[in-house]
Amino acid sequence: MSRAYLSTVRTSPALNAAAAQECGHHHRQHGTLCLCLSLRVIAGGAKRSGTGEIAAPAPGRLARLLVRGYGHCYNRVTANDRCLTSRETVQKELLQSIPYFAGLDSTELDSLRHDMFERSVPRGEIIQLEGEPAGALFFLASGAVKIFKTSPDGKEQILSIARPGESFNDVAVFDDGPAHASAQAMTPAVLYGIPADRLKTVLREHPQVALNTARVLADRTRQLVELVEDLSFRRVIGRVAKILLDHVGDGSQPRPRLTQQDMAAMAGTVREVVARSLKTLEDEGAIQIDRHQIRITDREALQEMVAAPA
Amino acid sequence: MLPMPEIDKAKCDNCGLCVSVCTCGALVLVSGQVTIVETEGCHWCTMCEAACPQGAISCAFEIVLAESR
Repeated sequence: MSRAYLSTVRTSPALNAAAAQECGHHHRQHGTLCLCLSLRVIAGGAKRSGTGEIAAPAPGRLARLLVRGYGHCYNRVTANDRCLTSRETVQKELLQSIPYFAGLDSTELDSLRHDMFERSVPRGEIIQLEGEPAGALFFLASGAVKIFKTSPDGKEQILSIARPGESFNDVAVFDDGPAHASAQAMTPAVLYGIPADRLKTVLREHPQVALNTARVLADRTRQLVELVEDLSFRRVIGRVAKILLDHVGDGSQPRPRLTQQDMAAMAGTVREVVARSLKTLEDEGAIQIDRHQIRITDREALQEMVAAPA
Repeated sequence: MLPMPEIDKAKCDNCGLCVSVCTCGALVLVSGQVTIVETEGCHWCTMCEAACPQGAISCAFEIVLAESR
């Protein structure tokens, strides 16, 4: 089954309208077919193509074809995603904790659930590739996702680590441009997504979401400006100290573990320099390294290092 | 269960370099496969992570406040 054919199937509005009627699952305007209907669509298409020799693929092969047919668009809805109908449980507490949906009442949250889909990804999965179009806005329900850019020679710069309740590919969704960074699951993760074309309707129908979006994008800008400040004005040891302080927060929330390579990518340096920085911080009594655990013993000392001029 | 370094089997090509740099016996070759042996002798030196040319080993740190041990 050719990719071109799957593209045709994918983007036909009439076909999707028919799919929505037959299947009963919620379908977006473009490009989503739930697996149960896809079998009939592909089989019917094979007959219409006139080849006669192409048999309807078995479900397992169909799933692989559909994923390949969507190509490398990791963030498009695929056959493996689950529609979130009223029968699915999207925890309202989780939705309310997402900054985009702050201040919405129960009815509005119920209406939003019908636009969302759920995706589970294993650790290490690439959710979004830098430069690819963004087909959906993703929110993290559980796990941790790192957002990073890669240089032509393979060096990685982590821009941020998304935690439950946070979104991470807003920029590309809202400006219709390519993804400005890649996103990879640091742990097994569950994502909720709203297809990009549906999102614009959500913003028009829910003015509070539009206001919240402005705040989210402002916060995102502030974070990036702080990163520029760190890379431009702080010594590496100060950046490492800031990473430790920011990561632990007030100590009340569990955070994903970080390797020295992760810290290096966040600090814009290399692993060996991070290792030396951690040793220096330990020698100065600011931290204690006990096997796999870095314990912050002198928060003020770390803050002084953060504030020290380059 | 004692936290130990983790191997990404998809990236590991069983070159054995990590085994040769490990000083505590936490990494061994079993039937040609790099295998982690749980041992308190592992002090999280991270040399295995540094040595691996494929980036297949990760020694991740948990960052906590001292009073939350």
